[in-house]
Amino acid sequence: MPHIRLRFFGLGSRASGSHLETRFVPEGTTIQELLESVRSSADDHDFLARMNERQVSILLNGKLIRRAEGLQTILGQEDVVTFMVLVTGG
Amino acid sequence: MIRDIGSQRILNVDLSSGETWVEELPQEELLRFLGGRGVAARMLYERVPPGIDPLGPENILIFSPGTLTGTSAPSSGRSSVTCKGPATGLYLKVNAGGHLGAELKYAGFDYLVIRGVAEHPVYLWIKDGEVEIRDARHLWGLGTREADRLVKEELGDDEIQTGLIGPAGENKVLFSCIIFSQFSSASRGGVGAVMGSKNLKAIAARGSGALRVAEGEEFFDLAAQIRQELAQDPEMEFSYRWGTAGSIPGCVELGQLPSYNFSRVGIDGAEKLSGQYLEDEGYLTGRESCFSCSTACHRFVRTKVHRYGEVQDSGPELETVCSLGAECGIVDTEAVIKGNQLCNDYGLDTISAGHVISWAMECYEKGLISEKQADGLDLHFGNDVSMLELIRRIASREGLLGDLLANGTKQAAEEVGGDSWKWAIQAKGLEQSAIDTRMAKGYALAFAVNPRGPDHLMTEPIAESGPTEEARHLIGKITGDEKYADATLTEKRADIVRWHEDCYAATDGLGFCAFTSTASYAVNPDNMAQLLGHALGIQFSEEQLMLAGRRIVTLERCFNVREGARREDDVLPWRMMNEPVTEGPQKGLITDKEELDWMLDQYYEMHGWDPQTGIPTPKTLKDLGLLESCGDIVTD
Repeated sequence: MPHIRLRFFGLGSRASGSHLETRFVPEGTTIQELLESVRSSADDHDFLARMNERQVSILLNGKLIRRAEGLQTILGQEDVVTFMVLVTGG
Repeated sequence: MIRDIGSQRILNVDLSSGETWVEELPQEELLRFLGGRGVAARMLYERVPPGIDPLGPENILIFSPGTLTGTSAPSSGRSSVTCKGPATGLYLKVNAGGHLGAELKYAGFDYLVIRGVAEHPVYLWIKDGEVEIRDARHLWGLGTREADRLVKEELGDDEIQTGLIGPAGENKVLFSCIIFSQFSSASRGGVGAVMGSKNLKAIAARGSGALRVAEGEEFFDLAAQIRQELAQDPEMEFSYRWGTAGSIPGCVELGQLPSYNFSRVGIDGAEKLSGQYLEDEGYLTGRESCFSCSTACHRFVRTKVHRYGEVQDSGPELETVCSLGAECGIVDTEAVIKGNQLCNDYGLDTISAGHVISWAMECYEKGLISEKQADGLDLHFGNDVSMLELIRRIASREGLLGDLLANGTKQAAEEVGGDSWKWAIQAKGLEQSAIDTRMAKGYALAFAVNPRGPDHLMTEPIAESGPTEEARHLIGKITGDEKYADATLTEKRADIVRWHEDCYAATDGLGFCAFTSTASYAVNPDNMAQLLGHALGIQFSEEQLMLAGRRIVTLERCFNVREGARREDDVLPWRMMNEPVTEGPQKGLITDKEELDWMLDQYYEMHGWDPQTGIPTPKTLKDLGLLESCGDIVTD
């Protein structure tokens, strides 16, 4: 059962920039399944729960995943998955 | 006075003679160049002869709100300021929000064109179709905050909107800016120095007029629909809550936080520079919107420790916390807030200010600037006291170092010599904004071909990395395949950059905020074209809009070609092309000369520009209807 780390940025109640969770996930869990699990357990104030899933940016070990194939990536031991909204500067 | 959107008026002011006059813009020209940035580029090309001194009387300074600025079109309150730029000697367009643009429109003018040099400091008072050149000798030398207050007091109206310079512009610092409506900044390339060179301290505008759109109901309904979409956009909500500096944690996570003069891509304690930290720790006291914007991404902050005395000011934005913070090796929140306040008050572009200071710090640590040459300042990275003192000295050109840095890193590196040019993070004479072009090929190309130098405020291809499904869909639309939503690829970057150029030019022409059109996508070429069509009471298509965008981009290119710029000027800072990323998830990435050259070949071919020189071909100019006006640049 892989042990993974989750990081959230700018997603409502998990907002303050460095929120970190760790969890064990069943063997064979994909990023898509992880995202669904995280969203279903989020509270009503959580940005991640109510925002359109398509607008969440997801990083696996610090790199943006390509959505189509990336979501089907199977999570491995000590993977770091990051959920964030990307905005830009001014 | 109620004016139709399509009846645009140009207010001309000659500060040398004191004459003022008004011209009408033919609607045909409005449709060809969209207004705002586009018409300003057209006027600059026609009215500024090649080779003139950007700080001389022949240069003109054009204020041009977008064509839809002043209407209820969402986030459309932005204005361009255009001139020949003193930092580069090339085309310069800057853009700012606030409320000045809408006020100029209500006062009866769509463009303000200023030429000449006044005998002594003056300011312009524009009210309901009238303009007055007023004495500003009592305002000269004042910071922007105090000057703004005094102008309003003098004219007896707190609702006046201003655009003004601080001491940096008066002293012709090559990265001085113009502050709009107290809290917005038209920043880059030394536009404030051009205003200062004309002895023009401020513009003050007040209008009681109105604008009439031709198809009011359709216009209103579409504007409301876009506004609703923006309100539901998580990125806009994010921007409201944490501002652009809310991107800091994401930059850290991606290993994309330029630090220590771009020699590193991260810094310990970076979270203290974030918008989230500003909110969590009680620095954030309020938010502010530009005209017609429902997002309110502007910040108001107040220091809580008062280490530097009481500081209350707007911002800081993402670029500012990077340039005055991480790039200088500083993560002290109060120091960055104080630095931002000083730049706003002195009228300095925070991006270049931070980068000339971080360049000097690297020179100091490498022994190319001695303690004596630093006028006694300790310039080690992380010294926030020296960073703040240097801002003051640069604005006033005080001392050897202050005067040296006031001319930007390009000139400073030429003076200091050695290898210091290698870590001068500039191209064409403009300091690069805080985006690491080694990691994103589209950004690299966009920065290299940017007519004003390497930054994100002429073209920003955020979508190239495919951060959201909307972004990937857009990349699929541009390139034919969503697989190109990958910033590490060089393929299709020319297509992506050109689309964003066209869209950005249209965005600036109509006055929209680029966050809404090239970041969130709720404003897009289709609905921009529809809004313009409803405003004018004509059919206007997405294709016409994007073609006009390309015409603007090509015209701007022509201006630079006429000034002597060629393909070899389309480069990136040396460090960006020669030193791979040293750490983090992006370690080893580089966009080298070979890759850039390959992308440039694709880009010139796509534009119909000569691949050897970068000059638009006669056929391209003819196809865009520019041959008559810009044919002087082609030799064929």
